[in-house]
Amino acid sequence: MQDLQDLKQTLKVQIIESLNLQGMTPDEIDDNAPLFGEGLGLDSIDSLELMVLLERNYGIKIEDAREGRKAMESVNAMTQYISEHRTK
Amino acid sequence: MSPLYILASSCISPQPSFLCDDLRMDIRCTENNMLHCLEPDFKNYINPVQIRRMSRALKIGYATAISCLNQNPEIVPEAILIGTGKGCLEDTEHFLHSIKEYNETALNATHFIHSTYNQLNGMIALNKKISSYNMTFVHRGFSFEHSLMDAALLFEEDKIDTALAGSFDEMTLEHFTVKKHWGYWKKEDIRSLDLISSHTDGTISGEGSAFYMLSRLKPEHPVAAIKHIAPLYRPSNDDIAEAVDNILQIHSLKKEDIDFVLSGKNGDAKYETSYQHVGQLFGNTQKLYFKHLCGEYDTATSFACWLASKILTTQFVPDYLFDTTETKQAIPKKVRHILIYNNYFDLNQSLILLSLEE
Amino acid sequence: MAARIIVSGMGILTSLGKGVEANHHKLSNAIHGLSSLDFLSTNHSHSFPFGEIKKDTRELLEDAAISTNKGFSRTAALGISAVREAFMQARIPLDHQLKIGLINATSVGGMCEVEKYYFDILKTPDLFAEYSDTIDCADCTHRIADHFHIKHFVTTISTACSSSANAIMLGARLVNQGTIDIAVCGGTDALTRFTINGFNALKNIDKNHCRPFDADRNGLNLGEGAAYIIIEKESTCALRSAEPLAQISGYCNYNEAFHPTAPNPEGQGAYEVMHRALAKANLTIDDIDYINAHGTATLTNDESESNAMKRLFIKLPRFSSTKSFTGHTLAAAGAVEAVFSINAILKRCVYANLNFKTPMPGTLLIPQLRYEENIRMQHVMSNSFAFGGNNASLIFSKL
Repeated sequence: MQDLQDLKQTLKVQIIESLNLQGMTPDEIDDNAPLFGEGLGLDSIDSLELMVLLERNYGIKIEDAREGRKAMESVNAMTQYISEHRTK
Repeated sequence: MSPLYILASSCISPQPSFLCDDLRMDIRCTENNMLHCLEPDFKNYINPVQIRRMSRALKIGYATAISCLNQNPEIVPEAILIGTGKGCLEDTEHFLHSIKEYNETALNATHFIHSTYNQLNGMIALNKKISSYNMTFVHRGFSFEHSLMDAALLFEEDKIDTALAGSFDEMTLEHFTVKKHWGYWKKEDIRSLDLISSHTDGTISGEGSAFYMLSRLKPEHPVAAIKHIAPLYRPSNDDIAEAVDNILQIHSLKKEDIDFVLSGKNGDAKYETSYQHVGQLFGNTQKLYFKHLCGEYDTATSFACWLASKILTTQFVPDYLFDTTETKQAIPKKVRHILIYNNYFDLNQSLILLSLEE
Repeated sequence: MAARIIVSGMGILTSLGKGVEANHHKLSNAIHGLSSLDFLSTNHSHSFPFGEIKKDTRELLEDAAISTNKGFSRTAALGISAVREAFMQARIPLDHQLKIGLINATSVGGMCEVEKYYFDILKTPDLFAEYSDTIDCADCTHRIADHFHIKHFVTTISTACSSSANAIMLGARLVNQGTIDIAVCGGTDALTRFTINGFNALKNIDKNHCRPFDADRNGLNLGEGAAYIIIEKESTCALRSAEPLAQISGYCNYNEAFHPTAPNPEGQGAYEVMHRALAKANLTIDDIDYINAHGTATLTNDESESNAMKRLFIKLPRFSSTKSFTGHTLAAAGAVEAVFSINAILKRCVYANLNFKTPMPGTLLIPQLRYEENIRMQHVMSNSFAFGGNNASLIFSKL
């Protein structure tokens, strides 16, 4: 379980870095809050950036935009998805 | 053409021109052949979600446009017309590098999106909800001129009353370095303020953004108006002389009526003769200069227009626009007409007439 | 009454072939121009189908009778080839003394060459001085202008995928207002690694042949090409005994201010721009016989465009996306499709929309499925929609 917790922390740092969320700390990102729309307020261009993050850091290639949306619903969903699909 | 009455303007440049109303600026000087924009606090103009993705050129262009719009919050322009020679160069370079670095896989789309030349047009329209005619001109030394011409054309044909027109261009270190090898910039480092009196090959690089809220109808108060734009493609000296005569004739002016020729002279020996030629056409008319303030770039005439419009409305002619090595003529009691002449590497040359309309 | 603005010449080069007739031949026989890449070097050569012109840049330049290839980009070569055909049809001699303007459109400009050498240029710029100004959009325009002795008005427009539709519109306006007598309007874009990787990063390239307006469409195919039309008043056309081909009767440029890259799914912007182009042409919805749709086959465009067409036209005219033949030629697309639209009027024909099987559940629209001739073709609408909400619509009419 600790591993998942670590992964979640690392992921938050990566999200802040890749989306250039200036002035935001990992603790400010709610694990369950939606990343898009309400919640963190990200948009469709961010979702493309997050897919790049997944591919570069975890070797996960999402071909279908709709599947991508689901995998990236929240930080918790992303952590889960990474732990199940990662190739590196 | 239909006159373009300037209701508001805004300018980000290497000088403290942003939010400056009267040209009383503390002029900056560099010594590395490069003039970079003084950047305002962008957070005042751009929302936090967008700013994190925007590159320098977009931020500069966007803040300039928004601050121009903010001066007349009641006006929603009926067209957005932007000229840029190189667009968001930094994004273009960034995407080229990442194609190589990541070997054509897993690339960020943002830099690609921003490398499209109409990004700033779209962003202004989107954020300000301006659904209208929207155009991007990307033709080097004509980019800004053609934006203005399109505004005049729209005023004549569609009876729209207002348009936002402007320009933006940036210089990156990478592009500067390459162009240095290609002889665009001076081999020796010079003080930017000494540019005009320099006679060696090459110039200094510049960048900037200026935006104008243009009106078809003359407001009640005195304003500066852009009365004529003549873009000249690879003109001969005769072509230029003919264009000057044509402008004077159309506006019923004599050469002596032109109070100042605002010259785009850029200190590059290769282009000195063309500036001399236009200087001679106007005999003793006082020449003013601007490239030592903003550097050379595709849309530098947009900075010149900003200077000229401010001179006309404030009637203040700052000392920093004169070449101290030339004899200074008496300043006219009332400045009414300023003619800008610019030569972009012989290819794109232009004449722009601005007048005070009372 | 204002003088009619007409088209007196057309020129085109796409993956379907060189010249209007070659393109028509493929279009009318349902032969597409998509393939894997043979000339452009990229890791994606075999990942996607492309509308690639099967000649290297040197051959293209030879075709265009350009002896030196110093600094000439592929976009310039494509452009010169297409303008030459248009000049011939409009009977404009190469040594003309006419007041001609060139309104060119491109999105990649010289990037097609610069990207090949970019890192070498950074290392040893001195060896690449001939490309000193090739990185921007104006370079190819200058090359075309100089080749055809065009001086009076020379400009470049870049509003992404609607660029050359906007070039045509500006040309018509400049001729109408009298700034120039003749406008050479169109666009040129070569395939580049830059755009292929860009659209791939946006995740909207289909691995298979694109399926415009199909429920199961999955993105666009990229193509390259150039197309130009000659625009003038009937009176100047008559001076050279050139034959007017069609009238430019309506146009509109309208930004929908919805999203940085995606259109409004309801099609609000697409609706407005078509509606306003009709109003400008003084036509009603019943007058339009065919719509050459933007139809990129991306999820968002086709949904948006379908909704807009359905809302505007009570009885929808025939429509198709010829991008299923050529791929999306980006800044050239508006002019490529303007040539197809005018040719549809001249030949009283309508081109098919390839690869369509299933209507979209929301609109149930079915595009033109096969090539047909001998049909009424009085007025044709051509749509071009772009990044940044830059929408454009043109209407061409039979003379």
